[in-house]
Amino acid sequence: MTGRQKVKTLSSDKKIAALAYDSALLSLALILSFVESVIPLSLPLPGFKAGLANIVITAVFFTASAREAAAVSAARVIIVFLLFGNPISLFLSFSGAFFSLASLFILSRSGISGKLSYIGVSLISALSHNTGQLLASTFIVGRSVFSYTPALVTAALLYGALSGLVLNILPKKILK
Amino acid sequence: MKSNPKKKLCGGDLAVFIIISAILALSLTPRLFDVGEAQGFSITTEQGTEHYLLGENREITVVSCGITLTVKVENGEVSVAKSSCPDGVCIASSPISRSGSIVCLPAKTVIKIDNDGEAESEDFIVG
Repeated sequence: MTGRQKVKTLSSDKKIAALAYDSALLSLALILSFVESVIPLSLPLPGFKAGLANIVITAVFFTASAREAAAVSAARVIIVFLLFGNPISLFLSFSGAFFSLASLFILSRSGISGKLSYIGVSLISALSHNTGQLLASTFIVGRSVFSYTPALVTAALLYGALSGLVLNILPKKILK
Repeated sequence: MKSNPKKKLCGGDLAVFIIISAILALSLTPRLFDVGEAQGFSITTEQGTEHYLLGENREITVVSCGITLTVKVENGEVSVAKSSCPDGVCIASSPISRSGSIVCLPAKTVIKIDNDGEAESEDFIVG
């Protein structure tokens, strides 16, 4: 085997490994989304979900790459829509996922994420997610939905902290 | 350059928590001053906005985007009693009386308490 062939094989092995890793985590994100749709963890806030799948997306973002996290997140949004969604939920999920990923990207590129633990990162990501959904809802029903802002910020505080706590206690072998 | 977060709670987390709590406090401020008794409420659907009085107990049937909602007015409180939408978020929402709103996204419907200060801008917003 020539050197060039060897490099080629190695890079394709890496690609397969990344594909397998991302697929496994996508399945995990889907299972968490399903669990949430069956067992509502919405506490006193009707219609709100804990966003457990965000734990997986954040983990992919920091262990693999922003691109892989975007791919897993987009695939999750589309599959959840095909399984139990409607066009409005697709639009809302997509906006939430986009804002939350964008916040992770900005935090990581600016170096701010290095000064926080996963709790701080998840709080910001959850707040961005809810901001994205709130802005998307204004396109559907108008600015009246802004009266939901306190509930959405409370949800971001509760569920962001929960996701961050899970990420903080994950073993270092899984998440550095 | 990608910088991974720490695995232990740190000062930065506390700062984020304080900033988000401040945003929460700011978003609640208009409600703290909103103590007056509201007289009526509005239901905005695809077809437009209709205003109703809070004083009279009644049931209003609204059809929007193919979804039928039954809005119940009882003792000055507005809630959604029935909905043909599978989500059921509006039914689970707590009744509103002095401020707030109930939103049903699939039916593109907003039920909102009319507050004097907002009444003028409301027509403009919802249009």
